[in-house]
Amino acid sequence: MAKQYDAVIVGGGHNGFVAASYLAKAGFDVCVLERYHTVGGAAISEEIDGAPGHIASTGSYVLSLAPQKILNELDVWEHGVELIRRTPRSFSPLPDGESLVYWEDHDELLAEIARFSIADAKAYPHYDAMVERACEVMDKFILRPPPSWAEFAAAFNQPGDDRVLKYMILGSVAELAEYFFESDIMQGSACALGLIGTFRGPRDAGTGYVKLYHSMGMATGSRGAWAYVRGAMGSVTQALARIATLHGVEIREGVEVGRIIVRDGSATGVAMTTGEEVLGRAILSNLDPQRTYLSLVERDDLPSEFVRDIESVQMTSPVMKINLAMAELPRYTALKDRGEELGQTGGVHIAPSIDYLQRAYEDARNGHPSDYPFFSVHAQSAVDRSLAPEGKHTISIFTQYFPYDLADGTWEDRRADIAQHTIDRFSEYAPNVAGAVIASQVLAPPDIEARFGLTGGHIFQGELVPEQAFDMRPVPGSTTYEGPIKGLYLCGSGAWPGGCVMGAPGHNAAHEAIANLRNRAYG
Amino acid sequence: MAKQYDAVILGGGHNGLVAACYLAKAGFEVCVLERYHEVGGAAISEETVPGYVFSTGSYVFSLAPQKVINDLDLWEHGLELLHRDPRFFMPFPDGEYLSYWEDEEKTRNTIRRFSEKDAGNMDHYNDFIRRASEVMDKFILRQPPTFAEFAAEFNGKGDAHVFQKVILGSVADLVEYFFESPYIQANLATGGVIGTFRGPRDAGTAYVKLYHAMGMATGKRGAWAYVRGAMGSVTQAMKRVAQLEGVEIRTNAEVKQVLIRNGRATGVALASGEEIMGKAVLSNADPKRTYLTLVDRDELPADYVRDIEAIQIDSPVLKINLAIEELPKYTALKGSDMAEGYTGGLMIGPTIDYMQRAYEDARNGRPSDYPFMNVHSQSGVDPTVAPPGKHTLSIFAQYYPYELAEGTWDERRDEIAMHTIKRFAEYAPGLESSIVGMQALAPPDLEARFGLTGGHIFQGELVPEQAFDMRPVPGSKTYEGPIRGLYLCGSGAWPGGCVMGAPGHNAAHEAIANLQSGRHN
Repeated sequence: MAKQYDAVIVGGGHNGFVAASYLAKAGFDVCVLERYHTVGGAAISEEIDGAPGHIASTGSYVLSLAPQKILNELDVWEHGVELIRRTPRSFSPLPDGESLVYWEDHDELLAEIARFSIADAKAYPHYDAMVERACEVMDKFILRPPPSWAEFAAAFNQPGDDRVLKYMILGSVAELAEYFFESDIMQGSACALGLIGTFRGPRDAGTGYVKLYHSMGMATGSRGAWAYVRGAMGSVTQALARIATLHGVEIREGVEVGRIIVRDGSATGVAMTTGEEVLGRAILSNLDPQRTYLSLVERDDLPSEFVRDIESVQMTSPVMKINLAMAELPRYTALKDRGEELGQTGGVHIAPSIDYLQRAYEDARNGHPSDYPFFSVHAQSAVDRSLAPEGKHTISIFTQYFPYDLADGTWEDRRADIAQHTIDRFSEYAPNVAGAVIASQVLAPPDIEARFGLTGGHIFQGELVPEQAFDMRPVPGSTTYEGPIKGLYLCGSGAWPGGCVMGAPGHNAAHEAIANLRNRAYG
Repeated sequence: MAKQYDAVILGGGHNGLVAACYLAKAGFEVCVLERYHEVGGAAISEETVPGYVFSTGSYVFSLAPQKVINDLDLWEHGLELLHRDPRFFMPFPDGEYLSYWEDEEKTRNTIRRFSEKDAGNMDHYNDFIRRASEVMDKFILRQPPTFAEFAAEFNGKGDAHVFQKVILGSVADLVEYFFESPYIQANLATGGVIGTFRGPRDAGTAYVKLYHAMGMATGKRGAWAYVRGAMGSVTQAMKRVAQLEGVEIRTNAEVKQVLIRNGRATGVALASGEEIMGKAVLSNADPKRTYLTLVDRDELPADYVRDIEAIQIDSPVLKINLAIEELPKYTALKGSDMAEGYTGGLMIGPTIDYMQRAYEDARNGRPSDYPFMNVHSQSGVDPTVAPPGKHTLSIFAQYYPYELAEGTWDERRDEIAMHTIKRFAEYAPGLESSIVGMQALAPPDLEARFGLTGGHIFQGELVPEQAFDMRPVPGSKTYEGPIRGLYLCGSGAWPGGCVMGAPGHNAAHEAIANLQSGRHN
């Protein structure tokens, strides 16, 4: 007879492990099932094919959003997670040879901004204060079941909060940027975080919230700072897997769940593609909502309205990820006289103006890869020598916008050309790059889908926009993590609060499942 | 000494006149100052071509609350609505067409030609719009609610869906949720982009759709009507009522400045230098014009100036008024009754992608090659607006940037208008040769002619983040801004645009209460 667990977790990504550990700590018998040959999901460290010793964060590449409470409760620091702070935080080169360095030190940063606009430097603290206020409101709702919109909106109850609600929650990141800044570079770089992973342009409403989401992380202890993880992002999930194992969680790799077994409206276990069944009183799916409910569950077991809602989740991804094994680090023309290391320690954003970014989006909206893409580039090997052989480097190019379906041709035919064009565009800022590539890995949206099982290739398991947040994540009326099938929970980024290597959905779903396991009379 | 009124109203548009009527009915002495030679603002009838009367700006009527119409007794003063059946007609490039009839069953049968499933979903869709409209109803004739108050009203079963799809999202998401046929999707998405510099795939456009679908002026939710004699008949009726109530109306009287003493508005100065004093000043002009042009910047908190400057007020609208020899003959209706094409409004915007591209053209500084159009031939049902046998045609088209990437509007106005007409004539061949006269109003022309900043027909985008107490700027819980006694009473204030009168009604009631309490003494 199949073994009966208290909880079976489908998918061994970071959220699946966070959920597993909390459940195990609460005394339950837990099994994690991972399709890939090793756990980690999209937070994984892997050697680039054809480049021995070059380790890349295949998917997710920096950490910020994981709440300290989770990191501490699971004791990740004791199990190998080491953050590498980035100073400066980021660097943005401009086509004209100018550049903006985003210093960690406040005064240094203001002086840097003042090189472009004194008014922008004066406005910066006000901008910062608005972002901080919105973050404080978000903080209240992260580690709990999804609030309703009315509850969330009601928390904006201080003087001036209307403005915060308008610019950081409802509006576009372009409006936010233009409200505070006049220079193209400040406007463009303020927009960058509002676009990550999102198939919208900076002028589209909802991107203010995307910006907020990426600015609220406290994993490093300083608001909104992003850090490298030593050994690349797989170190996070490797630590989480170790912790889970210590708490008695059983982890099985290379086993793909083909179906969730539902009996009389309750989930009772899962069936592997091999036919093997693993039974559990609660099933937590770390997969995205569409994959969970449309691929693993029989449609007849779901209300038709729920199916329609799940089908209409916005999850078109604009992301192409290129991981490069490099003979040397990028050398930016803009830093020739400033110090090349300024471009190597933190993130590099190519986001020179709002119009540039909006056009990049419009290309993809019309089925074309961006001719001039938006870039977020990281050369982790510059600060973490464990990721490349002596003297060599590994860099991550996260770039937008690239449609899942191309208007002309297919990704199979065009992947190499499109990646090369993208690398060439990046090389316009760092001319040595194109010639320094030893090996590359290119993941277009369909590749991200195939590799990580993320529908549409969407890195957040669904757009992180206001109308897909709160109790509208994944679908309207999601006041809990358990959907219409009793005992089946979503515990991944597709559930509130959402994506990035955060762990909050795993934490929240686990707590709900724990309470139900304790209170409900299960078969 | 300058005469002292209780209230001076700057601008004689429909909202200014509504406010004037309520103030006068409450016993206050009121003066309306209009820059143009006739009142009406953008709701005006003009004989731009001899014998042809046009609604120069606004062209159909739906949103005015029955309460305002009845309180002012407009029916007794010449307001007559011409109902339209079908409400809308939409031809497609492939010769297909779609009409939206008053009779729901008839509409459903039309939809069934495109998709049986979509016909079945129509009721569910209508329920969403109705539910959202009912929530809106609670907030129209009162001071602006906070977003939280508004959101809290969506507390019934299924309301989270309504809030997501109809308030927060894009109109494309809304229609794609319910309908599979690209024809039905496009047809129902059109209302979400009217006057708005966004594409149908952009969040916020569902709210624009709701706004245009919630009107009850005709007694039927969301129905739009012609006004006999064109839209000027609305403001002429209001003018008569105002005069009967003792309101003094002065035309050709342009206000140059709002007079302020010790943080309080005390009156206005005209371009002529004349000063007109009032305890309360209500501005029917848009928020930017009011606060950035007519008020000294030193009188305003710096934050407030920044907020007003940041109002989204880019207009995508080109309004073309044509005098024509004969009504358009729609290819799609060949062999059937052409009246189906000219009775109601005609929409051109055959797919969501078509409209999105039209938007993207303008976002990049170019007039839409294939524009979205909302076309009306009022003369088809109202013979008073054209000589016997002749006709008028109003083409409301998007998207056209205020600033062109190449050339100027003065150089390119006719060429761009003719290109737009040509695109329309692809659905009604021969139209060009029927043209007797033309007026084309691009965004800068709408600005110059009506004083609407950016040429924006709603005095600012009608999107969720500029609604509620964020209209015109965050923190607008009342109609009185930072200067005591200075109120906004136009479309730039809550609830917003269209010939509605609610901002005028609400601002007047606030001013009346303040005048009665002695706040402005």
